[in-house]
Amino acid sequence: MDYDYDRKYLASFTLRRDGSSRFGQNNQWGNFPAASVGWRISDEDFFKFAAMNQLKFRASWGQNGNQEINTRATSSIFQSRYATQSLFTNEQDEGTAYDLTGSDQGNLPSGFAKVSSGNPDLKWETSTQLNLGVDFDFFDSALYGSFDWFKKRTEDILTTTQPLATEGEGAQMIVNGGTIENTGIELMLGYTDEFTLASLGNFTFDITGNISTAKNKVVALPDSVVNSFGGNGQDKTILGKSVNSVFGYVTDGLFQSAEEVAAHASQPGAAPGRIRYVDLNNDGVINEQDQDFFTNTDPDFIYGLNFTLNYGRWDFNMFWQGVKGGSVRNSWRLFTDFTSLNIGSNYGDRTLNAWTPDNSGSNVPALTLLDNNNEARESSFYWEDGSYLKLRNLSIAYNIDPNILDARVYLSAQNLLTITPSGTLSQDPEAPNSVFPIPRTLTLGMSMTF
Amino acid sequence: MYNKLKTAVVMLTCSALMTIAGCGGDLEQSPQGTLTEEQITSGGNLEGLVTATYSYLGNDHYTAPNFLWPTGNLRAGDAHKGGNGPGDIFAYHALSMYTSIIADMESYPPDFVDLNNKKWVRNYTAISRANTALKALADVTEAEFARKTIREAELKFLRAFFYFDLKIHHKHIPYVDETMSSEQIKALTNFDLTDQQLWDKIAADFQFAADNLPVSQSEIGRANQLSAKAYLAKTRLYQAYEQNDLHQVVNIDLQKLQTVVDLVDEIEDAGVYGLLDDFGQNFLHRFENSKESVFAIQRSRNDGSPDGRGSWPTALNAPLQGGFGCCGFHVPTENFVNAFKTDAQGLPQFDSFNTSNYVLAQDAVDPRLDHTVAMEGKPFKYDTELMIDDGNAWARAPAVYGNFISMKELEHPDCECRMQNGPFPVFSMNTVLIRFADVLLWKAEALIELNRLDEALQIINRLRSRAMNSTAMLNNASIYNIGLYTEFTSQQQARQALRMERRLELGLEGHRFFDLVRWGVAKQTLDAYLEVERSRKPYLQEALFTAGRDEYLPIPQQQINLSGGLYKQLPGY
Repeated sequence: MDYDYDRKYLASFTLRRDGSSRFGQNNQWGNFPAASVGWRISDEDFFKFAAMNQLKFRASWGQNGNQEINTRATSSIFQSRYATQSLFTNEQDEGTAYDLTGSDQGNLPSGFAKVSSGNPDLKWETSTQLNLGVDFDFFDSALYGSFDWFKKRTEDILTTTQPLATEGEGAQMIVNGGTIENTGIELMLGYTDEFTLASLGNFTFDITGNISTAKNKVVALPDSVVNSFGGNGQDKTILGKSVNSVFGYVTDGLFQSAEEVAAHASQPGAAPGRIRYVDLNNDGVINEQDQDFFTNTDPDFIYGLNFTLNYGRWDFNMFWQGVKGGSVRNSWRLFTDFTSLNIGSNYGDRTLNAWTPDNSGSNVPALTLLDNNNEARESSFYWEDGSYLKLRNLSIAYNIDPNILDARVYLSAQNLLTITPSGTLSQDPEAPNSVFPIPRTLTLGMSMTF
Repeated sequence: MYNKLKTAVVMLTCSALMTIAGCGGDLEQSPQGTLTEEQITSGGNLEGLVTATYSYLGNDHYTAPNFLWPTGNLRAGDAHKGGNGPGDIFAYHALSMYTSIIADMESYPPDFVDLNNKKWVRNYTAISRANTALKALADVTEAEFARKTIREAELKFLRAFFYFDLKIHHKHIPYVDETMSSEQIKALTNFDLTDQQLWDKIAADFQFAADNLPVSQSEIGRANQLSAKAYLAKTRLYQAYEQNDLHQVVNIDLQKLQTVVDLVDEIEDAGVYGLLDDFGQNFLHRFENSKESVFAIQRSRNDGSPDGRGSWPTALNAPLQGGFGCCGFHVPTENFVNAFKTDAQGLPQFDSFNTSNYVLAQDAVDPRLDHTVAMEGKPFKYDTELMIDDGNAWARAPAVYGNFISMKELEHPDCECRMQNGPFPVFSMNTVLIRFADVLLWKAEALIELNRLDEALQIINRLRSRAMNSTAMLNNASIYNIGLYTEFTSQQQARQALRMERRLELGLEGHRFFDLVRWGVAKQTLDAYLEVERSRKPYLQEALFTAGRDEYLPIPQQQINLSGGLYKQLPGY
């Protein structure tokens, strides 16, 4: 339902009522209201700032629901299941077929397996979002922009539990567990103007920049799902941290000498040139308790800058986009920095610069065929700053005189430049583990209308 | 303005009314293609629950095998892990090093899955299938379901099988049966029952099976009275060697060992099982389900399953040549190969076998070597057209692990039983869990402890005679010399002979480490092994067996966490 009074007061209200057979008898229906209001304060009689052409305040609030789980989550059921796939490490045959007669081939007798335990209290996952913003316009729209603040809270997140092994097959349930909050701000500012250069004529330009940041936090974590998000299920859980947090060991460079090895906590496989793992709990031993949430993949902020220039029939455009902060995993280091982890494969040329007593500044561990230090374990060794600034688009175009030909000729380049901080090892933090890089494209083209 | 406001109010009320009028209705949907707990208990469906329990025998994989080559052989000094280096399944590298075995191995590459936890979970999944079926069976009568007692016996057999696997790996485990509710299960700890009480539980299930199963079943894959008696004997044998809290053997219960002898006598007297004429026939597809196969995992191919229900536990164990290509795991050690050398009398060189490595052209060996290990200069799987000319070309990382090949689990590349799944060859050749030779050796072991040395001697010589006659397929690949023992002069000498005989007869079949722990000799045997092997294989430089800890694998940390701390860890971890 929309309401608009005098184009000055705006309001909108909707109410959804959704039902899903996927949820328990008690909770099949969910109500999802949403409302928004706007106030164009610049249209008010009392508004007397001449420079401000427009100022509008906005606020909205809404809820919606998620039901993306399998359709059978509410019952305890048995499924007739012949055989399932056996795929590397993570999936093994969970079927019920067996060659009871010893015939070695042909159709086998089979039976039933318990699929999952029912949860009659299962209900909708609900997201509530509050958004406050202001749009503004100054100096006859030469300077314009908007600012937004949002907070989104997702509750009763649908999660599959990891049950105790002794509870047996089909003990895993889908439950409502966990609440995540996302809070953020976004600012957009633009400036349009024109100027004249004596001999050349009139130029118009527009510069627009935007910057946004968001924080993610797990604010509630019931016991039933504490093991579904990493951590050790006891004192180190994802509660209070971003849901995108990474759990593992923390490294501290390479051991430079036998003295350093001796001075450090007891670490099986330690030696000069080997990765040093931090003794997080200070108990003198490096073991699985020395793991923690050491980083997350959330950027500090993301930003962009767009610049357009027009001169007569020419136009020029440049668009920069960047990310600051957040970590990325450079999994290629398993191949480029080690001769011990994939014997028999080709090695990266970084191995030529591996640590030796004469080359002690290197961040590539000393070469060995025997990985006694378990250096492929998940640790901060493989994670690095994901910041980058890219020149996404650079283009120049000429609009041919319509009396001659209704056409436009252009030369444009995509992904022309990538700028990263000096310590970055990955080729492209935007896609650090791709097999193929994001291509740099140069296009020369012409578009015509008939 | 008032008019506009009034319009707004009217519109709002109308929308509200329409919403309320439009909803309601029934959202109940029963799931399709499935059965509920009530429906599952009908006769035809009960057989399905039993089959599903058997199925878990064959649902294993190299990451969670029911053929125990990783935990049984890599920890025993009989085989190296293999593959392309320590990082290629680091959790199995840890088994060779001992010090790297930790409570949570989730951080181990390449797949970052704790395999110790995975095996634990899969064992309890299998047990839950047995319990579910037993619970359903309890609700029907013999009148409704004629085979009720037989199937109950089979289910208890299977349940005890999986508990046996958990017991020899972890010693102190939670015990779940079909009568327990979810709340009771969540309150269990792994120290509720003592070491001996857990063995008694396992034995009770095998006893029920032995008392209620027919001597043979029309479907050969099923358990029968004799295979149940065999497992009962195996359970009592392990149980007889009583351990203290630090896993040292403090007493041997001779009464239990007498039970072992009696049970094996009953199995022999039934006349169903025996020894094959040629030792090597045990490891060929065309002889599967032979008289020497007391209980086996029935493997199959072309059976409609996505990847074939073949020997997935050994999918990594084929060499790089010979028509295979991957992945070079399970590499026999020099120490193991050297053990097959024989002296002038054809007997094992107990004290000196490992002082120098086996030389094909010079050293006489027990013929069983060439059925167990393939190596340079000899044919692969009896095929003289398939000679191993360059041993290193057949191996994955010879500089790290050497180039021997474990042959018992591999068939010839042209075997009709072979399926190729990407780089992994899997065979539909059965995995024999109990071989009749093993059953005989249990009796011999018990007899020795009962000081009936001559009877034990006869059994050991029977196996050596069979080995003597097992050269027909070998094409004179080596110098063979195997002899019989003339007498055992002492219990100690008899023990030494029996323990060596188990290594030669059942080598690389996944028993060795559990034998060493049962006898209480793990630490001294492995110290002696490592002292020499370290110099031959540098990757073992820091390997160290800690007594009172490494006899068992830790309780998986993930399970301790999920139990809310109710499970307690084993000593040393």
